[in-house]
Amino acid sequence: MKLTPAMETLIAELVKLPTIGRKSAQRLAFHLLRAKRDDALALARAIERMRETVRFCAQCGNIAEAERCGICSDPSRDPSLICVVEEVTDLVAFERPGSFRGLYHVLGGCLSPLHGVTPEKLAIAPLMERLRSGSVREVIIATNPSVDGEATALYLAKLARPLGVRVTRIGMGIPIGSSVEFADEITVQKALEGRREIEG
Amino acid sequence: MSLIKTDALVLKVGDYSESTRLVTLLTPDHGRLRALAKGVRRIRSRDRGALEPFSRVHVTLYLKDPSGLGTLRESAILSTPSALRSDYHRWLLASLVFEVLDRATLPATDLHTLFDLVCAYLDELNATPRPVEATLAVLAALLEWHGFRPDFTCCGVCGGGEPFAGFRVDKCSVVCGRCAGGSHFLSLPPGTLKAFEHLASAGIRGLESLRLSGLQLDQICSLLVALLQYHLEITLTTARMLHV
Repeated sequence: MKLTPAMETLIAELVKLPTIGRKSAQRLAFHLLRAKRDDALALARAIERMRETVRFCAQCGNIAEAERCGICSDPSRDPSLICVVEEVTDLVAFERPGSFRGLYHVLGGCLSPLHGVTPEKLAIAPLMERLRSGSVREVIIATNPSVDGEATALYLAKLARPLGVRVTRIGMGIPIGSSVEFADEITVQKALEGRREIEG
Repeated sequence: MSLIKTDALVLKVGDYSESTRLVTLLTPDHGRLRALAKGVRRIRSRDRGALEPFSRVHVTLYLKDPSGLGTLRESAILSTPSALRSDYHRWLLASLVFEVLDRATLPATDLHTLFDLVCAYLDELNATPRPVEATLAVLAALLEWHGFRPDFTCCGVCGGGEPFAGFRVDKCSVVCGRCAGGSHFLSLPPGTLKAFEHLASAGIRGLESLRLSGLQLDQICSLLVALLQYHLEITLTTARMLHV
């Protein structure tokens, strides 16, 4: 059954969102119809405001509402330490524990020629610019532990080492809360390679 | 709907939704297959590690129709070339070969010879001190598998004999000085043409006696990329990143 044109337009827009199918979109549309008018309009205004004000940080590529993001403009952060991540969502994951006090650099993906992603399509040139400034002591490469993520890490290390910057890679292995029994071969191999002495 | 259990090479992996990946596989019996791997993006998934490009895996999948999208039920790693995780150059070379396979192989075709060739290449690439030579040999074999065997016997235009001035990409053949020229002509020294002939006939396991300079490797690589792109009607992104 066809709904009213306004409902159909809303459903068509909601279907464009990830993980939302026609049925879910219809449920959301009816929820918004039944919700208080102010609540529904607040959502519309929040989307509009986000689109108008949120942009990408000119230094690191994180999301920001000014030229620099909250992390890059925080004076308590250590600017000599840069953690390189693939996406903003990875940055969010690193910020969650709150223990990292350095800055970030968002690449916008990882090298994958089979998907058409070449070095020019990533924010590699701005990263090298930051490393060339001379204020960076260490760069931590935190790309995903996939084959393409590893290749990106190797590529970045090759570019960064001649600049006199210490290049490190995040540790990899068995996730906390899981079992060794269920780990795949590559994870077990990586966990063994990255073993360290027990202190204390 | 049919249940398929087969060995496969993981050609390509892409994110499909929050927890699902879209995997492209090269199989000996069913050609190139695409399947959804549900739940593999979750941290606790057992199949996460297996579904990585360049891995040889054993998979169980449901397939509605031979050229359609399947659903992966199970996967286990048989072998994975570990050198590709620690050597950028080898990863790039393997990417070039896999890009050709991804762009130029079809579903529902018998790929036994090709599958065995690529498995042998990955083993070789993992261990050989000469990964470029092995890659060029497998690219030449891929070109031949598609029915384009480079001709080194006589000029591809007039049928004349040596000396040859270079290679005509469109004719897939050497050409003499009189027929040289045109947009598909690549000027190559006789030494490079001989080296290419040797490389094309030796196969990936017969490269011990072959000694090539960096320039020759570069020239043969450019020629092979041009041949593959022209005859298979594909564009190779990896070639732009490659400087052998």
